[in-house]
Amino acid sequence: MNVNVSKDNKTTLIEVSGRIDSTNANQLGEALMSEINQGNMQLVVDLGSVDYMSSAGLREIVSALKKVRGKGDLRLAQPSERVLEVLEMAGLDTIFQIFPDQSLAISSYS
Amino acid sequence: MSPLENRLTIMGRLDEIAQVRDFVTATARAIGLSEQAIHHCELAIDETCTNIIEHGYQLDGSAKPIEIICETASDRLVIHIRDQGPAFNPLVRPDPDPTTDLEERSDGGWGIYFTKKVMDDVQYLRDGQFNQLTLSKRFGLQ
Repeated sequence: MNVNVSKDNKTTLIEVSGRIDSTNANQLGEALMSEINQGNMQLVVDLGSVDYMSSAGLREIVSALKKVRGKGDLRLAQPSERVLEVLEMAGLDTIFQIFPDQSLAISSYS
Repeated sequence: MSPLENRLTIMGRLDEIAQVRDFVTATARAIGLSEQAIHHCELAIDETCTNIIEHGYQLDGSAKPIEIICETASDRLVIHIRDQGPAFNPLVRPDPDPTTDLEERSDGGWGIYFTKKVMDDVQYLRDGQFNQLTLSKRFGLQ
């Protein structure tokens, strides 16, 4: 798994690629918490290049969403069919705002 | 299709799970399961082994094995996962509720919940010093 963090005006974009599972989900969690601790509360996690995510990955994004809710948001972009199925099983497709592409997720904050 | 039986034993460490996933997905693909069904088997075996390593073996399973046996029955792929942790039946735990609000949402229990959702049958057996979880995925279904 790779995590790349960049800024687009007031929004922080976290692009993830590869597989998110119990061996590496904490790296994603650390990247999210690092941004939140710096006061960056408008987050977009782009899952377009993630081909697999287990409950370990969900735990990290849910935990980050709990931290930012009320102050900002964590929005998801372009989850694959597989990742979306996992989000749906956990009922997270109604909790997260999910966008079909990165630019729509970023512009949703303006 | 002639009956198949493949076995793999790993040590109880998180970095060994990739081997199990490769083993199960290769078996599922070889017997012709759909890509979605293969993903379901991959997710279920990943979640099951993660739970054994994190909870059953308390992240101290370097010398404790997990055995995976894949076999085909007439209409299904059957995956047995055997570990030597303390007796624990994960199926008796209440399911987390996916309709719960963010604030009240349970952190735990999602792995076994997903396993039950994506597989057609999940059974637990205590066999001597082993916990055995048996997962089944029927052919021709998602």
